Amino acid sequence: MALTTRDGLPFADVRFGGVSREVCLACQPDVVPGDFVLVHVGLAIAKIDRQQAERAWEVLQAIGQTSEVAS
Amino acid sequence: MKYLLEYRDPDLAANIVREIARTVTRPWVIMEVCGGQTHSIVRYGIDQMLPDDVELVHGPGCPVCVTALETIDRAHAIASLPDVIFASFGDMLRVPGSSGDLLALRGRGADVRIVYSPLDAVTLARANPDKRVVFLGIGFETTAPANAMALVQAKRFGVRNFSMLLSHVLVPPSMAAILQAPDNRVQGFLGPGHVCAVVGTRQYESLAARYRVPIVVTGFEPIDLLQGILMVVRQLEAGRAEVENQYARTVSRDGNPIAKALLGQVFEITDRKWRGIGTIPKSGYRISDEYRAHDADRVFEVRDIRTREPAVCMSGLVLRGLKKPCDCPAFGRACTPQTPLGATMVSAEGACAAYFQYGRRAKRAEAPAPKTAEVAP
Repeated sequence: MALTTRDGLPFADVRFGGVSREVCLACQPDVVPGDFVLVHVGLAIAKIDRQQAERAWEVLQAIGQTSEVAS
Repeated sequence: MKYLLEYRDPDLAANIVREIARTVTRPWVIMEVCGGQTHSIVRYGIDQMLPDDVELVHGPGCPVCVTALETIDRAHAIASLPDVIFASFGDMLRVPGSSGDLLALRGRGADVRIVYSPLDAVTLARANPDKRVVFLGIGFETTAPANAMALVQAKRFGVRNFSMLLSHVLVPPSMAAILQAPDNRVQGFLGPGHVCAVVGTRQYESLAARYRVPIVVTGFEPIDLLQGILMVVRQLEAGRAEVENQYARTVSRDGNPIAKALLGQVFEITDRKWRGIGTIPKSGYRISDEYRAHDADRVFEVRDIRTREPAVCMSGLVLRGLKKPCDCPAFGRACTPQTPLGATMVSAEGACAAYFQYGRRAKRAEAPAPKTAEVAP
């Protein structure tokens, strides 16, 4: 992720699968290379929260286990 | 990291579907608000996996679909001016106005261009100082920060030849309008994940309390959607009406503070007309006075807009969750993505386009065998 500043706004190259595109980070100025961001029409509007992602995954696994036991 | 591919796991999906079936005891109608969710639901057949007692209906969350016909016609009038470069997102070029779409206008010589981002339209204006560049800024709260940013940059750098024709809509007032309608069937909502990434889930709490309706802010992958449905069903069965957040890896209660401050700086709340639905009070943004030099509604005086909607198009009923696309007699016949009668058949987020793309045709439309089949050996 290459960080640049243009016209007073921070930009970075962000990979979308195999495609790379420049994205404005003005609304997510704290992201660092390696972060996952949600991008909408060229602007990063959210950063994916790793801890929340792990927690959510545990909840989902629990749904699976409960159902398996029940069925 | 569990972000994307894990959320398409078929075994996990089957487990959640079983859990929904175990939980549900009576019929419920749930609306997904966002057009991106509609697309995923139809693409992956989520609605067809569910028990018969859980019905999904599609909401008004396709921004291209609900942009008022008057706005499209105004866009046509401005784009027809000789010194104008008219810029828009790709979908908007094909939305039918009262007399054709912007793509047809381009075919007749108008300078109509697709841009990926509103900021690209500002760059276009700076590169073409002898032209007036007008960007058609539509969308929900998700798109609004990028549009606001473009206006801030235009003002900051004195890009006088840049203006925006703004037709922003807001999700919560549309949900309230659906719930207030006498023919409403919706009992629970999958809330819009990406909208809430900007504004946060907090904004939905008063809605859930006032209308006693569960709202689960939900993501866009199959597992996200199924888990969101399970969470809504659990609330409905328990008689709860709360805001819950299925999409916590991306959405917080307060949203993005920088983006929200930007919206407050550039926009004001206004009444807004929604295509197929009508005017909803305080359901949109307009450009504030401070940025009026870049407001195309004030820069260009367009009069005598007389709109004409095709009589057969049912998109208004589809957008309110009262009809499914294949209930429409024109669906897949007179109305296809190649020849759309309504905006819901144009956008990738439109319910009609999703039904068409993924083969959800009406049985009656499929019944007659192709004539060639009768004579083939």
